[in-house]
Amino acid sequence: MTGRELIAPYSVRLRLVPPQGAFAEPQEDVCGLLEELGRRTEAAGASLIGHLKCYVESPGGESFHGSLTSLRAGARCRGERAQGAASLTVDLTALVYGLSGDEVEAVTLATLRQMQEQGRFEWELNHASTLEPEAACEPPAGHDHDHGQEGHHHHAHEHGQEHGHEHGHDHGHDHGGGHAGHHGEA
Amino acid sequence: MNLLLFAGFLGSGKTTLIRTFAQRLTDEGLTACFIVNEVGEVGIDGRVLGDGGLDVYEITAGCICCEIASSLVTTAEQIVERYHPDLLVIEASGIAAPEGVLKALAHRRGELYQDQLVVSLVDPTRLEMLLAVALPLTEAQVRGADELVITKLDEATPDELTAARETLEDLAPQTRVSEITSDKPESLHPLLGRLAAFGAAS
Repeated sequence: MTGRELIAPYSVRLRLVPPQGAFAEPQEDVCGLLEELGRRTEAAGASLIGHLKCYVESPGGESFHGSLTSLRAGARCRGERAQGAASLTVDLTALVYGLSGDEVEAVTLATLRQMQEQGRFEWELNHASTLEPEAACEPPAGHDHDHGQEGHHHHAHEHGQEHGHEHGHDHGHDHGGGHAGHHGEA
Repeated sequence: MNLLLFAGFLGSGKTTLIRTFAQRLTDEGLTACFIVNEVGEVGIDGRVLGDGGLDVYEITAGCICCEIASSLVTTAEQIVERYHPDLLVIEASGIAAPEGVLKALAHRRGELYQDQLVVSLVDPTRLEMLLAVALPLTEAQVRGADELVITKLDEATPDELTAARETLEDLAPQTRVSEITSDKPESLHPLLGRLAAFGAAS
């Protein structure tokens, strides 16, 4: 047993729009989002925040990343400040112990609604997925690497676009086996 | 080519350390390719490293120590074929057991790569909770390391640091332990020097 059977990775792509014109300090808003999400996951019964992290891009091509591993340490953002951005595209991943994928999603949506009500930003949810806990992740000494074995339940729930509220879910199932990509020049 | 595997729990500082290490490799004229694995469907760390100008291959939506180990082998083969770097650096997902990652590649050792080194990072501020929630994973990451690194010295309390040192001593008494913090770059120099020498030895 490693840790895969205890965690349901939740990923979501968001578009955040400021209430007025432009974000003055986008990193502050994103850190606020991560910290509120962290508070709510703990309140919902998470036994451990593994990692809440995001990669953020502005329409002008500026980017930064945000990270939260504990409420005590708080969230940190690093990279370009993207001040004055008219919107932000946020790829957020939540890795939380003790909550199901559906619970993490509910907490995320509740966090977004609260921040909208507070006038921090409006949001659109463009894509979301949950990978279910992986029952086949067994001790290294004994496992093989074939897929499709008994007990293997790797699939994603995907959701369509939302605008500031919850209705309109488009639940699908993706029996994925990992994705590979390449960043770089070479 | 040698293989350097960074392991350690979620948020322990692997990506941050790799960014700094990459600069050291560049300074020493060594070539490296990077494979980053994230268990979530959307990759974050690969883009963070890519922003630093690194050549990064990203494997997402599963763990390379078990679920998608075959993707790791395929990606490593592509890298060797295309670039022949001095060093292949793998950032395991935070829930990976290093032994599983090495096992996935073991049948290509000697052909794809020669020597291997596992560095596991430990966040002392969350170690007690991690031992309570995911003990087998923590033990696997610590016992599977050739070198252990306690991170976030600036955030840990003295009691947390003492507990982390004692835990690592209990679990892996023969393994070297380094202590680093991002706000004191000098704390990184000995570790980075050893890792760069490992890359140069290929």
